[in-house]
Amino acid sequence: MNKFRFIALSIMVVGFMLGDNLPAEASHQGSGYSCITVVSNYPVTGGVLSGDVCAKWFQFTWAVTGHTWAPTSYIISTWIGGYETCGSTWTLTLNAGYRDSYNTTYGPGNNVGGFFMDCAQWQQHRYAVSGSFNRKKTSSSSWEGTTGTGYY
Amino acid sequence: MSRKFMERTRQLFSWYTLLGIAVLLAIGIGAMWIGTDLLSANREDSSSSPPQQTVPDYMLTDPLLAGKVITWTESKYSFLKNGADPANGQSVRVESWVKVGSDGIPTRAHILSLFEDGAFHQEILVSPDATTIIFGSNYPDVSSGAKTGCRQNWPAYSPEMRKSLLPSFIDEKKLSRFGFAPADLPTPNYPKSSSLVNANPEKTLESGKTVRGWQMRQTSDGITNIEKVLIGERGRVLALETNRTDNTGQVIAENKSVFSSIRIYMTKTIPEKVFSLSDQAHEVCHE
Repeated sequence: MNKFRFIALSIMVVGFMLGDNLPAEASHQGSGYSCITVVSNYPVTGGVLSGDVCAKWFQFTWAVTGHTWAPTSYIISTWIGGYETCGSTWTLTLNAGYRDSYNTTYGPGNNVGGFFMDCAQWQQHRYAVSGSFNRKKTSSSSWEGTTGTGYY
Repeated sequence: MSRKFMERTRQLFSWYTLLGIAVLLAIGIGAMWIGTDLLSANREDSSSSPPQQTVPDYMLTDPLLAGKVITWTESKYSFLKNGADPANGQSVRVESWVKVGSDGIPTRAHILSLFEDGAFHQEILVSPDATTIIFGSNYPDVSSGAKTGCRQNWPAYSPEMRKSLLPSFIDEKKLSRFGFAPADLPTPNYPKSSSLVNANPEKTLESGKTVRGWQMRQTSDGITNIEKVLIGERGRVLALETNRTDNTGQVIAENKSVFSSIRIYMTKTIPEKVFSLSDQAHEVCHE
């Protein structure tokens, strides 16, 4: 191995490490969020719409958010909600509500946090985050969009 | 000789310098990355994965249920500080129908939750391929832009999630190892089980038979958790109560559930309609 090959290899190793970490961190909109793409390539006028939901946990609380991506839109509206179950029904524990973004291709949802609920020691405590991902191409066009949910 | 030696030393030095720089760079970046994560974790105590709750080994799987259709009703109260659910701080009546496979894992489930006045709260249909949820009109309207109607199609449950739809059975001999102690607990009012079908059950696991109480209390970081459980025939959980309070005694979360008798049917005696949406769900969805 000559000197140049070795330098090239070193750069590749360092580049791989950077490449593996920095973009992921950037796409999570802040540290600690785990995101799931729940809608991809949903057809809308002028292209496709995608959406993800994100969650992160603290010692006694958790927080949710999400994002919508769409072709250039007059408005993009994103709703995010966090649900929990101990086995039977799902409880809406976090409601981030709708957040609107105008004249854009990207619509972040609100961030909301709160306590997580109790399950008995022997019950499976499961989390789900739902999103409603919507857009209007122009102010006079109708809403286009869909919903998606991810389990944690 | 001396010149060759010098040249060779320079080459080696150059090699080791490069190697050293590359290793230091890699270690430095790695340390920065790990350090940032640790600092962030300490500062916010955050984690990208939910608190893990592994199924403790005192849980039992009752072989009586395999290959059968079972039904029971749960009277449920839950409260969460600042909780967003329309049933937060209220009681609901949850009726469950579950078809259990020969391996003990549910293959179908139908869960209907109504408020005490009969108003629709939530309904869930589960199969290995799909999960359909209808949320009552008190939930946020998430379909205003999306053309999904009021039916929410959630991802299919994993087999492990489907197992959590079954009633709980506990091996009491192991409970004390997990911090539970015998306790005198009041007898609750057991709800009546469903009368949706006329078929005769093959067997019924009655509530209120040979009831024993257990209680656990744990305090950590100023938060106190109390769990109470009533256990009946075959180790079945008949009632449970969980309560979490902060260091001022304020309630953060509280759950109370009481379960009816479980009716166990032969699969062939139960019509398919018990695994389809109720008339109330169709009304909520304007279908």
